[in-house]
Amino acid sequence: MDYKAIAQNRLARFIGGRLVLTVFTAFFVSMVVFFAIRAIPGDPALILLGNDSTPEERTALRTVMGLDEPLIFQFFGWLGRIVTGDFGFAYSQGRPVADVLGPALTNTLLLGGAASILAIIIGLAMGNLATSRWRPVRRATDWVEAFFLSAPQYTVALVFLIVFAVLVPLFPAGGMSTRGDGGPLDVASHLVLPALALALAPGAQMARSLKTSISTLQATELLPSLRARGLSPLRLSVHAHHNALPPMITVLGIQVGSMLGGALFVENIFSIPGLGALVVQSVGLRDYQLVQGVSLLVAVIFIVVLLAADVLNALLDPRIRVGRA
Amino acid sequence: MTNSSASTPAVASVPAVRFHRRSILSRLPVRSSVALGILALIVLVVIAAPILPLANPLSGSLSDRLLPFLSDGHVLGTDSQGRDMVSRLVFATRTSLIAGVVPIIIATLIGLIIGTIAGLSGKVVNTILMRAVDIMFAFPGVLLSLLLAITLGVGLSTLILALTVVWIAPVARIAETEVARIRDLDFVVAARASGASMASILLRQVTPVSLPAVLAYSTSLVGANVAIAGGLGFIGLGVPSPEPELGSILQEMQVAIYTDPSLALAPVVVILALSVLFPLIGDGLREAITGRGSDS
Repeated sequence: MDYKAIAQNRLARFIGGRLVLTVFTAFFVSMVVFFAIRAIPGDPALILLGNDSTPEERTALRTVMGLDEPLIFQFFGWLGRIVTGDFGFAYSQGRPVADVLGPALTNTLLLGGAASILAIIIGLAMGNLATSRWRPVRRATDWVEAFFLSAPQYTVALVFLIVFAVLVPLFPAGGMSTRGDGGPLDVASHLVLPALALALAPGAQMARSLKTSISTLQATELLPSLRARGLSPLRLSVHAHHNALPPMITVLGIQVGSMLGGALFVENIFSIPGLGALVVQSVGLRDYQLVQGVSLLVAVIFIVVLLAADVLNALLDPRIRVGRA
Repeated sequence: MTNSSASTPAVASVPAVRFHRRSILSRLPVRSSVALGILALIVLVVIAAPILPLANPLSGSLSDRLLPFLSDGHVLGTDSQGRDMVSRLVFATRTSLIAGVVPIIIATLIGLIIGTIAGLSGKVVNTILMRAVDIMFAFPGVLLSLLLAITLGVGLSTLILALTVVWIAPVARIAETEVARIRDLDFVVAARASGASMASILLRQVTPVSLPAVLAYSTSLVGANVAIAGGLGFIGLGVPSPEPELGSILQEMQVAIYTDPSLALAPVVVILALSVLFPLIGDGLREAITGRGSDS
């Protein structure tokens, strides 16, 4: 049997295993979301119908909603409907949850995508500064990195809002686009501040990973020997970064979770109508069907991103695709 | 340690080469010592708050609404209900420190137990426990705490409970890694070979080594936990008003962003400080324990 087939077999098995684990995790996560919301004290029928409803009306609604069935039946019924795209009805919006989720998801993905790109840029820049030849540069980068790593995203967002939108109005203070405009440039200018606020911590985390990889590599003979073979500094740098890529992708995948969490608050500060703003809004309005839908969607996005990072790593890491090396 | 052995003659007296163990505090990097000093000051002020000459944080006069910095009697101004900002921030910091530290202490205890059991057990128990931890990891922490906060209702004790659940998995994972690493080190194997009981190995060999590392990590986590607690307060899921809490003050002061931005910045600075100080101390502790610096 040739190496290529063995490597592909191994890769397929790895991805298959991850896929099974992902489905399992998604199932458990949906269970947590369902039971957390169902455990909220208070009668959903009472919340929906209001205090002036009669007990008979409430009993009737409970039967319609299936609330008098055993919880485990309710859970599987709910899960079955979710899988077919029926997320329930968002009474605070007067529309099905799925209709509310769509536009919000687009906005959050735009914000998250912009933040990820900025995080990669920050990570590459800071990782290289942190392994600079000059000690003062290294020290300064360390300080900045420590600060970026732990500064809460919503405080950064508020500082950005105050400094770059109010005091020095370089960027718009909120929303996704200017009314009547909405071109790509306009949307981009609205995304700069919130995306940057979300990108600092993931960027610093990636910088840390890049720094570790590069300094490990610097301790070996690889770079001097490549230089001796006459490689240009640029080619040398490409070699150094190639090794650092897989761990950086893992870090980015994990950090998407922190971005999604941070977006919850940052979207509110910059009035971006995304999933985070939606979840906070629906909590305030006690629209628990909507809370359930958004929470599940956010959690599933995170799980899928983690899976994607793992698969991408498997494709990049030579130890898994031995045959093609 | 290393330079003394190089300069002393081979037949040095025993005391000269004896291992000198300096306290962990004296081995902290400078930035961590500074952070520790600032934090100690904050804690001191917060504890002494009831006897300090502070205005009542719960009541103000409506004629003093949103006074700017350095107003008469209100150094950091007032909020939209005329309450003194210095006093509100001090009492809010007390609440936020409790909401920041207590969940981490409880989660560290539980996570340490789970991680140690998983690290010392065979493959089956380890797989079951660590898969459960992995699943908890699949939730963004903010989302999990938000769901729990809705379920449990608002209030300091429920907030603490919700945040505790979030941090069990991260602590358990670090503890498991540490214990699994220590378990196969020579001195543990030697202890096992000489017939030490499991309990004795756990208490005398494994825990003394794993505990400092886990505690250093937990110290760092307090920063992230203060941040999440503040965020929940910011969206109205923290401690109910009028009780001052940093996140809810941040939310209240958003009204001042366009009129007097500096007023809105005061609570931001306090949350930032708390979130950054704990990781600085925690990372320093880790460096002091492992003897590794982040930059050589």
